Amino acid sequence: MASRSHVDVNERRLRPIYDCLDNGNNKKAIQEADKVLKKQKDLSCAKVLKALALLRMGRMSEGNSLLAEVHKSEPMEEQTLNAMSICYKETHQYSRIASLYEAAARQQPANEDILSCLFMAHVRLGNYRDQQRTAMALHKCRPNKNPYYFWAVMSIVMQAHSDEKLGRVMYLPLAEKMTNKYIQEEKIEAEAEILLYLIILELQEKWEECLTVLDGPLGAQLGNELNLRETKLAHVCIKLGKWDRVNSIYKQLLNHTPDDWAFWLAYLDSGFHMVDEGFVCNGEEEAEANKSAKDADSSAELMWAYICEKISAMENGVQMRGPYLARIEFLRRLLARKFELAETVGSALQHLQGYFDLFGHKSCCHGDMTLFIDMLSESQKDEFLNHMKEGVDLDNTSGVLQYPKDVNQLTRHLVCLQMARTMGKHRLFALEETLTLSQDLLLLYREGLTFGKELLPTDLQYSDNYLLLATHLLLDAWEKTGDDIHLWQAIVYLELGIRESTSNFQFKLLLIRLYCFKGVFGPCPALYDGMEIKHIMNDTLGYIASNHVIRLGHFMEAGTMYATMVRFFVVNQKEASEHLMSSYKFGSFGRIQEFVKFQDRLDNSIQYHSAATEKMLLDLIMQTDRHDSAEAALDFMNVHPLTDQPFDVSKICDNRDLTIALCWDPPNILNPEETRQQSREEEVAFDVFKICDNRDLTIALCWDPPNILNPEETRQQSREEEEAWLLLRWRQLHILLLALMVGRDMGAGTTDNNLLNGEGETSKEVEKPVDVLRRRVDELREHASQCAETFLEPRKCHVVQGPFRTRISGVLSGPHLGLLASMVDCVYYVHDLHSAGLGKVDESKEKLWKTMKESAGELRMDGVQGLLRDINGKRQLDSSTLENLVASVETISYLTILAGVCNRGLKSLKEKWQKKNKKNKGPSISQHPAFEGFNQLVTELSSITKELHQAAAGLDPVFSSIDIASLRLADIPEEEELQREAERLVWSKVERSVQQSSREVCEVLHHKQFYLNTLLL
Amino acid sequence: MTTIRPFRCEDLFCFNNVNLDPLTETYGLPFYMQYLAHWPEYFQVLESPNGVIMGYIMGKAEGSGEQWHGHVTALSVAPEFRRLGLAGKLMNGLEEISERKWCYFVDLFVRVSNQVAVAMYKKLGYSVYRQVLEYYSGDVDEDAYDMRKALSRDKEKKSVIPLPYPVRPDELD
Repeated sequence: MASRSHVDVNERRLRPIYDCLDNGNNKKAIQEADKVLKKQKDLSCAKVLKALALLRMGRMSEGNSLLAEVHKSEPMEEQTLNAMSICYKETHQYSRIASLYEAAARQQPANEDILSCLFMAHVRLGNYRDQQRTAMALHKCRPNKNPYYFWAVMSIVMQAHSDEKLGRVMYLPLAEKMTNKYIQEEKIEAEAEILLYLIILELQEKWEECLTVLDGPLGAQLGNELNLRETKLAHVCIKLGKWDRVNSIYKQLLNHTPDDWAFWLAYLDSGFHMVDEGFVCNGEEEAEANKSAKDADSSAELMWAYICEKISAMENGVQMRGPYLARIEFLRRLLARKFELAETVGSALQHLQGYFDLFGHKSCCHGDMTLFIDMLSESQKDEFLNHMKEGVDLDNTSGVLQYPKDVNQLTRHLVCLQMARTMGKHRLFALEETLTLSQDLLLLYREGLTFGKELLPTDLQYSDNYLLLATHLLLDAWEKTGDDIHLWQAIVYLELGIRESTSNFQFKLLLIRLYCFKGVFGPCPALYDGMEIKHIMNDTLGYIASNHVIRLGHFMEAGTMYATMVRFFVVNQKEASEHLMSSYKFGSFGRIQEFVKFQDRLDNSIQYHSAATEKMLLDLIMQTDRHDSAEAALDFMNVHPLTDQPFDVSKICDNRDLTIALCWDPPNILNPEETRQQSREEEVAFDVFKICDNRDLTIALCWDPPNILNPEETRQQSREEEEAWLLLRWRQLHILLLALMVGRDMGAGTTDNNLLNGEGETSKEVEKPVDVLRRRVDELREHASQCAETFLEPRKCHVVQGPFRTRISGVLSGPHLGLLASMVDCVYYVHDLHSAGLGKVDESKEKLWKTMKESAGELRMDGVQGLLRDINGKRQLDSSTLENLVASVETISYLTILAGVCNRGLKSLKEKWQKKNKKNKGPSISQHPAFEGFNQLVTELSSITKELHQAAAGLDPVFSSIDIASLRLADIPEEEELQREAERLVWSKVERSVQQSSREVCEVLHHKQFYLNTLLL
Repeated sequence: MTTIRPFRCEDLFCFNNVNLDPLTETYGLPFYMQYLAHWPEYFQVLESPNGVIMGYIMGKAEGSGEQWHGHVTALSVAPEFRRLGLAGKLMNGLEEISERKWCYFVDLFVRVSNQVAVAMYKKLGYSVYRQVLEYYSGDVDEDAYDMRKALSRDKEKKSVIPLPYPVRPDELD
């Protein structure tokens, strides 16, 4: 064993290496390490630190082989182990960490530090059985430390989660037994241990046992979290059907916090359970034994009395919303049961009117009341609206617009307007009324700004929602008439609104949406960044921009955006296990399963998979001007086309926040869930992945009626669309990558046969690229025909809130997928020629070139003359041309890559042919027609590319003869100088954005032409 | 009419209406996860009757000896749910947990410019204990107030006697 002084010497020698590593000076770190190793060639820590520096410099193989050397020597000292863990963590070789500590623990079976590092290494791998084993070893080594024992128990519980059947019969009973042992021996020390016991009992649905624990001395120790014991008790009593107990628990909680809505609901639920079941208190004795049951409110009359008591208790004090809303909810339940008591309670109309009188000046009032408006008949709704109007006290009947005198009146007015919208009243307006109200709201908004003069730039203006409502009305008019003038007006309003209220994210969300409707992506990145969308918001809100950025030809921005999104998910995957480790460390066992599920949801996020797939497809378009660079892409992309399987739709998560934009439309119009479903449908139909939709689809404020918004249905529809689209894109990507592999093999002169012979037995298990390619193309064809049934027509989405459609409809209805498949047929043909040699000419196969050449012509776009169209007799901006152009550019890029693959095979054949021809002194052998056929195809592709280039250049307003600025888009009165200026600004943004799209599309096409030129034989 | 409940991981998927507010920072996931794993009782969320997240509070307990205290790391309420006294509700909860943990005081940091928040904390019984120079980095660095409120264990209210001079962030304990 090394003496202490020896260790000190080592430490002193290693210090400079550590310093260099800390400062990021890897080169110097290597020099310092070499210096130390010269003196002490076996100092393993120095070797590891050198390896770390090598790894950080990207010298992977050198670093890894040095690490392997030390690993083999089975090091034991802490410093070396630590340094090695860092190396493995940085290179994601997590299983190596476990094997490292496993070896060290074998040599020092009683070393607590090593064992606890080993435990955490297993946690990182999610290896529950080994966790359990290691935790027990730790427990044996330190029997007095409770946490180790409970780490083992929790590891057993996790095994139960991963194998439910065995969990029931084996793991959970074992975990229960182990915990019980500690309880009986009175060795329980921490609240975490009691909570773990409860988790085990709950998983086995042993509710009686749970109740005993909670009622007993262990339950009394649960005091860390607010109301934890009470809510747990209530939960268990619900399971046991002890409604009297549940009721009295919530009654007590309400006595402390009479404003808690969840408590009120649980109180009413349990009370009505007793009412419905005809509950009678089981005699004095039992009631005595169970004191709490005695004060349960088991009849409607008792509950009514309780609610009245809570309301009257507030009479001269602070008014809380809870008891008043509980009263309406109570009434709803009475009416559902046709109880006579309802008459005593009063009418929903009366109570809602009273509620507005009390709380109308709070902006949340609208949201509260929407819960109950379905209790009103149509005529009552009108009566309610009239009551609110009177309460607002802004008489606008005289024709002169009245303005609120203070913020309270303003808020009441807004609540009233929002309510009218939610009741669907705005939908009944004639166009004239819609526009008049919108104009009035604009004036009210401006006037309302005077109340907010003192506000900080980080605050929202009190009157902002007037403006939002005004724009929603304009969008109504836009939908009704199809006249873009209203939409541009809305954009101008919002642009002006952002100046006054710089941090209003609702304005920004809506602006992004409206600009994208019109094919203008240019202003969006600034708006998006202005909302500081980062970290997990990449998952939940990324969709608001990512569905448009490629569609509208902003390829550079797309690259940046997708890279940021993917980085969030990848970094998070690396860090995920750290949270699990902290949960063990701090004994928050309840979190562990939650964290695992959360991680699953992120790993399977639809946004993640879409962004990753789009990014790779984009790289294949952007970073390829020669076939070499396309082949190089194979190596830097983290995909394995031979073995990767498509995703499993059932597992994909939709994490998008689809309802973030404010909107007060009727729900049948908004219908966010339907939209989500529609937009998801287009994106996947995968079989092997679990995709999660984590989009926050309701982030945009919207006051539309619930039948229009319908968030769940929207989500479902949007989700299906997104899934179908993702699957389509995934297959396109894999077809391209597999074809590149086929081409690379042909170029390298390896045929499939000698590949198999060369690599022996194992390679038999791996399919040949060309076979996987065939399968993927068949899948794509089948998928496309399935999708055609559902997604051929673009899905309609709610203007404010509905998630935007994917590009699936355009791609399905265009020639794109057919062309891709036909071009792959050419690849097959070349592959056959390559493996069989140029023998007899197969005329039927030779036709492929010509057919392909002819069908590629479908990508031509005739008559592109800018983006302005005459629609309904008005000049309007039409972005469909841009979207079609982008789709053609993508397809021509894919075809170019596939032509490159053909070139690989044909080129080597041609070289052979030429050699043969030279040797042959007789009359020259006739050239195989494939060479000529291929050349003609490439020439045609090149000419199409050139024409697309011209079309793209034609989009650019500078090059077009039309003077975009001279077109008046919105009818704005001359005197509104501010608006005119904003309008000009909007125009210049539009112009710049279109120029940008045009420029980027041209740039890609320019590269494709260069690429195609290199392919001619 | 609000529900206070413990914050759950999945709330991170729907707290956008709170976090899009410019003064509310969205942190990397490890930050939230660390709080959830270490101080779950200090991470509470407010939910509206229709399931919208109205606001949340994150905090922790730390320090030793007479410095053992509850700390408010983040407190935020979505714009449409302001002026309802929700922040006070969340602060009360945090103070109550700190009382149970037998803390001496509760403290928090706030931008000097955030007058609304400073006024609100004062109303809730907090006072400025000291000013921390350039605590918030940004285009222009900004000072923070370290505000405190004594809990029942600190009978003589020693923890809130203001420091007469400002401190630098590296001098914080």
